[in-house]
Amino acid sequence: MNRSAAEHAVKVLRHVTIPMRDGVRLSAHLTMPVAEGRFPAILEYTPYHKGDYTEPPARFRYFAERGYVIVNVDVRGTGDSEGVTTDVYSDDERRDGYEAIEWIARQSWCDGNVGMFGISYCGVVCWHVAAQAPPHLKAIIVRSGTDDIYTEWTYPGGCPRPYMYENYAPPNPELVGERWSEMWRQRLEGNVPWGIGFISHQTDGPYWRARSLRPDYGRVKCPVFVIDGWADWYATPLLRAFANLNVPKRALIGPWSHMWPDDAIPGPKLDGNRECLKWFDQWLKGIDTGVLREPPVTIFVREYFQPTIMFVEDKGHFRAENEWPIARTREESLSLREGAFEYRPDAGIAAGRHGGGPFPPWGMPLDQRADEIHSLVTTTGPLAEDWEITGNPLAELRVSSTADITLFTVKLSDVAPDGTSNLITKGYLNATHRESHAEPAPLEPGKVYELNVELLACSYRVAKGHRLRVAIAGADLQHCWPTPKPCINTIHAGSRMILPVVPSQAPKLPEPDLRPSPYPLPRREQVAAPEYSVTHDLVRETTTVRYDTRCGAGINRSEFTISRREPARTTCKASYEYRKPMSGMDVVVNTQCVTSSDEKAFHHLVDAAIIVNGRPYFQKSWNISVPRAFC
Amino acid sequence: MNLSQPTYKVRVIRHVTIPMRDGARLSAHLILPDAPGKFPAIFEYTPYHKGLYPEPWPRHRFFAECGYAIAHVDIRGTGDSEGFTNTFADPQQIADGVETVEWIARQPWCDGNVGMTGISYVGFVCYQVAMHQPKPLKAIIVYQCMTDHYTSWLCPGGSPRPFPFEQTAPLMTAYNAVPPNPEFVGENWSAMWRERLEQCEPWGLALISNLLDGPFWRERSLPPDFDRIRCATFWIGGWSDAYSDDFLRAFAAMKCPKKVLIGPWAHSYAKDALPLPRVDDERECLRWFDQWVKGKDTGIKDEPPVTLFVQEFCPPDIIRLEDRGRFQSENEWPPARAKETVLPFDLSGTLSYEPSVGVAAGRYVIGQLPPIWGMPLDQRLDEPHSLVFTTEPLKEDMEVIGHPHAVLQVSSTADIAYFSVKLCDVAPDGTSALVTKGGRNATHRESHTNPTPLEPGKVYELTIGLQALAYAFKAGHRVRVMIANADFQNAWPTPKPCVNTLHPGSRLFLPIAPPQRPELPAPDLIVLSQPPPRREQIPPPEYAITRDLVRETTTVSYSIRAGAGINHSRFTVSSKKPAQAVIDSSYEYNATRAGAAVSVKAHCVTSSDEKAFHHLADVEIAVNGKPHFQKSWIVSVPRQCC
Repeated sequence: MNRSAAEHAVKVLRHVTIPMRDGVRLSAHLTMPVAEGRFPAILEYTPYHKGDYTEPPARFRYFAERGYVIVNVDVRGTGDSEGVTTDVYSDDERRDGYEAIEWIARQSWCDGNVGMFGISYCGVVCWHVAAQAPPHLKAIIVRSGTDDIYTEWTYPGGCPRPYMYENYAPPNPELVGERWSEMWRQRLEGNVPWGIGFISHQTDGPYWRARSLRPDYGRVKCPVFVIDGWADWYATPLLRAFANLNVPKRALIGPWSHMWPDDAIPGPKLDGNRECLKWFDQWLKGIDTGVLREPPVTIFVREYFQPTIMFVEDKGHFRAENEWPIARTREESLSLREGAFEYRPDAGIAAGRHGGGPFPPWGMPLDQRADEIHSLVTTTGPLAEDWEITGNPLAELRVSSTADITLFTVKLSDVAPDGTSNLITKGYLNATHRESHAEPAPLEPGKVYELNVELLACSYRVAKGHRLRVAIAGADLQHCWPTPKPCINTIHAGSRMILPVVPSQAPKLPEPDLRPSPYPLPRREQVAAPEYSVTHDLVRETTTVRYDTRCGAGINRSEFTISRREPARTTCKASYEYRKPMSGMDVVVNTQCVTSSDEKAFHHLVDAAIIVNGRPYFQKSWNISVPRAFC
Repeated sequence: MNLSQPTYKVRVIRHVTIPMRDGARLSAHLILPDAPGKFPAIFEYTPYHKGLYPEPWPRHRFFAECGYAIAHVDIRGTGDSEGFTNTFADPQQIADGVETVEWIARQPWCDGNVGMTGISYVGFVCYQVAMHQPKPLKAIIVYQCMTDHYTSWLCPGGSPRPFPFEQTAPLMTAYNAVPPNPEFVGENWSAMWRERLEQCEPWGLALISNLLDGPFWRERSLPPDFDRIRCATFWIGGWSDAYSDDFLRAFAAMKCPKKVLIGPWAHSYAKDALPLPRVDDERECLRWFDQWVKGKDTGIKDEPPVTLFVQEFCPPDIIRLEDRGRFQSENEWPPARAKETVLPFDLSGTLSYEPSVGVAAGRYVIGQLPPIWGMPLDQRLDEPHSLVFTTEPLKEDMEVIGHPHAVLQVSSTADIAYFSVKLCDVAPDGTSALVTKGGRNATHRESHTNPTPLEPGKVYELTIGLQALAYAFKAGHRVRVMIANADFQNAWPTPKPCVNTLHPGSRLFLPIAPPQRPELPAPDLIVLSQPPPRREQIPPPEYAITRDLVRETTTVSYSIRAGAGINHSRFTVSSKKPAQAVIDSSYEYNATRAGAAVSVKAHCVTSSDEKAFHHLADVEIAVNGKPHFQKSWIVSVPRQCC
């Protein structure tokens, strides 16, 4: 196998400006080899402030030592770039990405081959740029970047995701200026908090399609490597994108939460840079790294693990596959118990913040029995042999509700002989979205509807003697904003769960060509913990989830409160405090968001206050109310 | 019926002093029929400051109108009485009470016959005085309290109950530091106050120092020598309060004239109590005192002595405004026709000890969140960490009346473990309502005075009494038994992580009562027919349970108005380190004395670690906002199998 070796010393060129079509200049730091000549380049495009570094981040150094120029660019209106940002994934931002690729290809230090990588927001922008097929973009690596912003990020199953308002809205990173200048003033006047865009687009449509790759996968012309983790949000969309792309492609799904494999927990960690280098060397440098001869899919097959709020290493193993979904999969149908259950908006306390909220992953799912008491539960007998469930289970439900709007959550669990119920995977569907996320339609109370709920992708070996359990409920409060109406929901006869059961490979594929990460796993006590609690106010019958954490450059605090008696009334209070001393100034940005709902509407209030050297410098509030659109 | 009628006008004489043998003077308010002559007297004896509300209180007025002289007396060291008080249910107060009965009988307005009555603390002082058999004391009516302070109050089953440290300790620490009222005691008030502040000790200190049974508790409790009570005794309690089980055992053991009435009620007089239905208990009390103190033939002697409310399934809710069921007479307790029946399954299995089990247990049978907040919730909330056994749906109704008990064959990987047994009624929709419960610290399997550690792995037989009940399971419902190793709102967690096993042969015995044959007449009660109040009309406490998912702790917190002030408490248990539990509680009492605003704040921290219990008490007094007095006490005692 050939791969670039670490042969260069590395330097950082700071604040190189990239002119855009309208004169706005984006700011870039370049991490590059100390050597003459032209090199392939890799763009990382961020709204999170590339920062002030003079020493390159380890991942950038790794590639620069191996003959790449890493171009780390602030999105327009953020960090040190000019202009304003008025919306998440704006038209300007997407176009800027294309122009940045082409600008990079023209530079004297670039050989004309450009790649792009990034995690999370910086992963999604890879899709945005690749979908425009800039001529010089030769490959991308998407780590935790969804192909569908609506279904996987902002409105899972058709209900607003509380996280967007607990964590994502208040940081308003676009508001945070780092320079005492006109540029900052312009930004303060012109930027708009992104939460306003989220709450204003409750149904799918052009707004979300413009920001999502799905369903036009054919727009991507360059080779794609997707990386995700089962403890993250986006294994499902990345495997879906993988299955739909018609370009050279590779998928690596580990046990990880929302971090690069080199540093991710739960482990085992991998040398992810090596895998990325294999991809870029192949497609940017034209080296035959062998990656094209490897099976293109590598997944971590999980096993039973005593549920706990945070663990540093998962149980299971990596396995290679030739395709996704796996061709040899057999469908096992499990008929589901019929019966009625009360919609309890407080269901979901054991669901964890699994999937992208917390990283490190304080908030893994807990023993599901805490939520099963509010669910309609079907449990199999002990399995006579191991079953590996790999793929997307599908619940084909026949449902009715006493209300015209309700959510169905479906959880699949592994029940150990001691009774512990460990979450394997889950799915949600707001039943008013049964036919379309773009044009939801109310339910006719009492009428029976067929509802297909696709569960998130998983790969999990259920051991012989364990039992499988399906729990259906009406809420999952840490993931879906509660629907507004109290109701009794019924699962009717004929409902079933279709499980993708994957038999052993025959013949067996070779072990995946992977290496462990050079960084050891931390001990549990070394992993910085948030404040995370669930309070049941037994008199008011409310449940409040509190989560306070250091996040990015500041501290995020959130309080999400739902009401059992009046499920329409939900409130999310969140704040973010960003403090940064710079050039003799102490700048504190405090933002607060109050997002609430009643029977009729959602309300989103944002307040931003900036204090410079202890004195008020800027204050602005935004307030928006939008009718509830079937969620 | 031959019953006194409320025909007298009433007069009040405030602050009459009663000299004790050692010179201390107790303060009494007298509520008397405004007429010449001698009257039978009713003595009410309180640590809760008789002067908190102006006399005549409605109950006192009623009995005075019916021809009784009421003496409402502050216990030594409290209210407007002299001296100081250092321990809960103190022997000094009992001796004072006996002297007071004799003093009352000698007064010109008294005909020499005395009755005693009261609720809660004011209730148990009745039998404490009666145990000494003062001659003039002819009858007592005891409401809603325990006869055994150790097993029914401080350490049921041998594990400390949080309640005395959440509420009693800070509340009484504050109460006992409040100055007497100069309006009554005159200029001497500040000297009396100074003596109190210098001499009195927070009651929590003696509580934490007596976590095992022994002489301290025996001289304060009625059991085991019930024969000491010779006067006519009427017990009134409620299933939603803590003490019906204790009452009924006392009732069964006593040989004096006796009667018992158990309604659905929480910790209040039956006329005002929730859940409904209420009864006119003043009439019942009048009949008792007329019979035994006035010497009228009221017919009460000829009635079946036991009146019970037979409960039925009620959907669990944090507040219960109305109970379902009916009042029923019985000739004896427990009913002779009730047959102990073994539930048809073997209770066996293995369970990891989770200290936070009991989130759904409510403040049940505590009366802590008055009037009726804090009832048990759907018991399924606690099932994940319990062993659960459920019968098939019942084919016909089944009444259970008596004291159920479990005989368990247990072993533990630790040398100390607690076993909680809960009996539930499972409705056809799956809802699981708590019917009754019991628990026992296995190291107390043979004795509460000399507990002995378990030998890990060894199988012991452990008998656990469940609280008495009269409950009708309906056909189609199922009976469920839940066994766990904690019930944290009711029992301090045992200190050691462990895995516990119930071995085959573990069984639950239910006293199943067939219908009465012949049926006794319906009880002669005036059941007050009134619609239940609306939920919104019942002042709510603050009451929350918080799970800290990172630290793996569970905290139950509440704030309530109780008596003269506000009681706050936070009780935290740890899933990872069960030895570490802590109650942080406080009480604030504000009063006006001689035109000055007096604020008394008591703060108690009761905590445990592997080796010891610790109790810190602090009193801070401000007068007109300025610091006036501050004192702290701290005591640590070994855990001693608690």
